Amino acid sequence: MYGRPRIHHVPSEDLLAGALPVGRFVHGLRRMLQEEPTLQRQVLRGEVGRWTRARSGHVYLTLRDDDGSMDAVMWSSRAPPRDFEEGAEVIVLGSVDVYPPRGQLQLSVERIFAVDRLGDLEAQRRRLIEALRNEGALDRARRPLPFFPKHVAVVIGAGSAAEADVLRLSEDRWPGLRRTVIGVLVQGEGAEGELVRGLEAAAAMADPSVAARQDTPPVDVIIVGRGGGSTEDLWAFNLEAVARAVLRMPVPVISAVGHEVDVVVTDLVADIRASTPSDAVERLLPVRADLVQHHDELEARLSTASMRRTHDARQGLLLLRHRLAAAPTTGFTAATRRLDALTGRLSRATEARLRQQRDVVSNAGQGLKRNVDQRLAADRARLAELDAVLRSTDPRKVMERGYGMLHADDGRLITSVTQLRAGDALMVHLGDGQATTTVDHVKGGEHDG
Amino acid sequence: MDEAPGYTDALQRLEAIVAELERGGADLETTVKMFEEGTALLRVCQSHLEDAEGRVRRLRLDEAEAEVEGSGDA
Repeated sequence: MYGRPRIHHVPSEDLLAGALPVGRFVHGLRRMLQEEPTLQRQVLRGEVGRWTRARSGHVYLTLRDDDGSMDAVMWSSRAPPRDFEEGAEVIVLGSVDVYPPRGQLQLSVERIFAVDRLGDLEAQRRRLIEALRNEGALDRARRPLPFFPKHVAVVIGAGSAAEADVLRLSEDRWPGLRRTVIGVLVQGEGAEGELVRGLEAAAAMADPSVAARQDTPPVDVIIVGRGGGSTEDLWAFNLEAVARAVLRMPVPVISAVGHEVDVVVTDLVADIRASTPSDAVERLLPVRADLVQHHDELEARLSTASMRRTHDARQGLLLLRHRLAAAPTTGFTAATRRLDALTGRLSRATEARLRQQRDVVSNAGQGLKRNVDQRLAADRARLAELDAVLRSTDPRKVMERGYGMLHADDGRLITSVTQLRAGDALMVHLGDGQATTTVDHVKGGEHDG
Repeated sequence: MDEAPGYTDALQRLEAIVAELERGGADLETTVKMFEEGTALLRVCQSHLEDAEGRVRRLRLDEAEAEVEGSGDA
């Protein structure tokens, strides 16, 4: 019994109104900590103090060194399969958190690595890379990817999200592309052996005789990879047997191991390194719809430009007729009529071609194509005929025989002396050029110069 | 060997023809020839896009191995 409470007076209304419920305070504190980036997902080093695995599967541990210690928890979904000994040197990835029922500060650990094991693995990996470099495997000539793969083999985690991503994305980019997925273990015991066997099976499918037996095109590119994971999860891709299997592949290999920072050994020996399985698909496959669209554009431009040329020819012909107003024009009338007909035909032919090519894309029949080809051949013959007519009536041909055309300085064609006065400046057109001249005298006509 | 030109070659030639036609200045005969060649090249390019058959196979490792069994040692 301590007698009376220490608060000797009834608190004021103001004080009561400002008092926070403690639970809300703790939750607010927790939020502040969670929003502080320097306290989240920190990599910490220390040794394991207490290590308790509860019946729930959660692991409660203490992380400590000479200067301090901190309680930590690993939720069952994150907890490693094997227990750590007290005193084990570890690296953890963890975030500071508060356990609200007790207001206790603790570290929520996502991953834990034994420093020694990671060190050993890393040393092995370095030795392997060094050996591969000495053999020239790291700077061997890389094989280019096929422009349009016919059959892609994908060696990847069986039933993984990465597998689903690859299938979906490849279908988006190149609908109907032939793909063979070989599902393997990509982490843990057995991953090394399964990756090697999966690669060997993919290599066998690249053999034309095997492919013929399966009634498929031979595999012409291999994607090997997995989705993202911890350094330890990805470790199989750092192992010598897997790296050597990649080097043995008879067709280009894309290494597609999901990670941001580290490079795994298969990245170094593959023909192409992708950052994720989806990235591999993007590097490998063009977007078919884009190519189809590009073709359609080229087709439209081809037709438009060809038709414009015939249009230009007709315009040129009309201009010529205008300039030769005084000359016999029978040839031009016929030529103009032919050209009109021809332009109409070419225009119909190109329109038909456009329609027909769309049909081809949607697998329509070929009859219309033959029809159009015949039309084009007929048009071509008519064009040749027209060309001959044009040549025979070209005014330049006349001028080559020694005749000239005169234009006044305002561009009028001079066809009569009545158009001339002494002192007029004229342009003389000959077969190979022009000259300027001035009128001295005018004889004949009604005008008396 | 007179193989059909590959996709990239065909596409480059096609783009050159279209650019040439758009620049103008060719005579009618040449224009029609280029149109024909362009159309043929377009068919070559399009034919590369028509091969897909729509088959996806998802095999377990043992299934994949059974499928290719007996190969590789021949």
